[in-house]
Amino acid sequence: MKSSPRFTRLLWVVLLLAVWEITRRLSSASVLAFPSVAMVAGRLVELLATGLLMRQVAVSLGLISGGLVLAALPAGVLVLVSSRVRWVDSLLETMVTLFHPLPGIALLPVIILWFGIGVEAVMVVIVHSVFWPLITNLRAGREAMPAVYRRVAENLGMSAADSFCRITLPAVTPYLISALRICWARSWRALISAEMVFGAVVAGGGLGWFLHSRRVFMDTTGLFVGLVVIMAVGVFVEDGVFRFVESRTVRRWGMNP
Amino acid sequence: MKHRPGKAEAKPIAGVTLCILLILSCGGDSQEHRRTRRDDAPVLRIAEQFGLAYAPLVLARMRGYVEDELPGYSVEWSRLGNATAIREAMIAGRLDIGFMGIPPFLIGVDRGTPWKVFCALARMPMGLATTRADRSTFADLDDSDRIAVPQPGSIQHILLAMAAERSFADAARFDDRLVTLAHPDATNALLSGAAVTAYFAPPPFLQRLTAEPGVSVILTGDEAFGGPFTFIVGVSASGDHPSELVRYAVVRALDRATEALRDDPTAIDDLAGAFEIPTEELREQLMTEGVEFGGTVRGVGRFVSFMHRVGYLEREHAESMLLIPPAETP
Repeated sequence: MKSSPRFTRLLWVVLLLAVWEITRRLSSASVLAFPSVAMVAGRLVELLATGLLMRQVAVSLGLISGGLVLAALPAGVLVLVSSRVRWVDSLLETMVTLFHPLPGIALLPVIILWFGIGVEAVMVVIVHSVFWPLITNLRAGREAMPAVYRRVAENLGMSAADSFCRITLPAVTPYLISALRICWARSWRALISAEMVFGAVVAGGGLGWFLHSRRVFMDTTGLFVGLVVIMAVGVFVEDGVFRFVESRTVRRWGMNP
Repeated sequence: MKHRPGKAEAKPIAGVTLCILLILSCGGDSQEHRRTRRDDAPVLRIAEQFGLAYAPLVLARMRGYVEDELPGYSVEWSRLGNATAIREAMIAGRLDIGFMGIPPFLIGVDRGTPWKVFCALARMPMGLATTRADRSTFADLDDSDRIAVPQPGSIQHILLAMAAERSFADAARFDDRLVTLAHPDATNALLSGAAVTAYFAPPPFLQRLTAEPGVSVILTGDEAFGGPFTFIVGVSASGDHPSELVRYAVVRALDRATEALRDDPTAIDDLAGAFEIPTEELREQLMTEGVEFGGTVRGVGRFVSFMHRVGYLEREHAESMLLIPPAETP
C-alpha cells in the first residue's frame, strides 16, 4: 500500500541510527567529536524547547523562499521572452554557460565588496545559486515540448494567453518542478555557507548561524542537532511540498516525470 | 494489493548491516596500528595561528629552537586559521600543543576536554576600532551596529560582552549583531565602510587601522577586561600529555625566541620576512606599549567567573585545575 515505501525508509533510518550507536560504543573517540544518538536526541528536545531553533529554521526558510521568488520571476520572464526573441535566447545561453559553473561561495569575496554582508548579500548568493539552473531547466522544458502541441493550439484557434496556460505551462511543469527541486537544494547550500561566512544576517540568524555558533562553542551534540534539523526540513519539503505539488499536477495530468 | 512492508528489503538491510560491522571491525584494527607506530618515534605536534602574538613561536619554528631543546623528537608544525580549528584538531588527537585565547580554551574545558594551560605566549594591546564619527564612545553603539570578531566565543567576543555588561547591563547585547570575519577581511570590511561599524582588532591589524584617517579606538582590551590579561596561552592536550619534559622544552624555546627578539637584530629581520612586512614596521609593532611575551598567565580567573556568570560556561572552573604551574628549572 501507500505507506510501504515510507515504512522501508523508516527501517533504513533505524538501521543507520543503530550503526551510528554501535560505532559510538565501539569507538574510543571523544563524545566531543562523536556524540551518541541519545545525546543528540536529548539536545534536540532541549533546543526545540527554547524556541530559538524553530525561529532560526523559520529565518532560513524565509530567506530561501525570498531568494527563490526573486530568482524565479525574472528567470520565468526571461525564458518566456527568449522563446520569442532569438537574441535573448542566445544571450541567456551564453550567460548560463558562463555563470552556472561558478559556485556561490567562490563569489563571496566579490559579493562582500559589492553588497556588504547583510541580507542583500545573502540574497545575491541564493539568487545566483538558483537562477542559472532554473533557466537551464525551463529552457530544456520548452525545447522538450513537442512542436505538435503548439500546432494543435494554433489549429484550435487558441489565444496566446490560452495556449500558454493550457499547453505550454503544463508541458514544462515537470521541468519546473525538477528545477525547483535542484534550486531548493542549492539554495540551502548557498544560505548555509553564506551564513557561516557572514554571521547572523538577521537578528537571531538562521540555521547556518546556528551551526556556526554550535561549532565555535564546541557544542558538537548541538551541531548534530542542526544537521538533523536540516535533513528533517529537507524530507518535509520533499514529501510535503514537491510530492504534493506533483500529485496535484503532473501525476493527475498523466505525465509522470 | 497487500504489500508486506519491509519484507522484500529485509535481505539487503541485513547484508548492509553485516558489511558495516565488518568495516567497523577493520577500522578498530588500523587505529591500534597507528598507535604503536606513533610510540616508536616520538612526535610533537604544535599549531600556531596568524598574528603578531605568535612572533616568538614563529621564530622558534624558523630557528629550530624546540627541536634543539627536545633532542630525539621530531616536531610537526601547523598553522590553522582560528582557535576553533585548533580545538577540533586537538579533539581529533592530531595536536599535542595548541595556542589560543583564554576564552576558547575555557569553552573546550567546559565541554569536558582534559586540556591545561601551561604557558603564556603573549599579552597584546587590543582595540575596538570604528570609522564612524558618531560613535565616539562604546556607549554610543546601538542595535543598528554590527561588530566584527574572528568568532563568537573568541577572546574578542568575550571582551565585547564584558564591556557590554558594564555599559549596557546586558552582556549578550551584541551577540546577535556579530559578524564573523578573519582579521584581514574584518580590516578591509571596516575600512570599506557600510558593512561593519566596529571591529575588535589585535596587532598588527589595530596599528594598520589606526594609521588610517578617520579610524578611532573606542574601547581597549584592558578597559573591557578591567585590567591586564594574557592574550594567547599555550594549551597542552592534557595534564600529562605531552609530558612535563616536553612542555618545559617548549617554554624554554619560547623564552629563547623572546630573548632573541629583544637582543638579536637579525631575529626581527627573519621574522619580518616570515610575516611579509618591512623590518622597521615589525620592530615598531613589537615596541608598542602593551606587547609582552612570556611571563605568567593572567586573567584566567576573571574570564572564568564572567563567562560562567553570563552563561558562556556551564561550570565555574577553579583556576588551579586549569593551569599547570610553571616547571622548576631541573
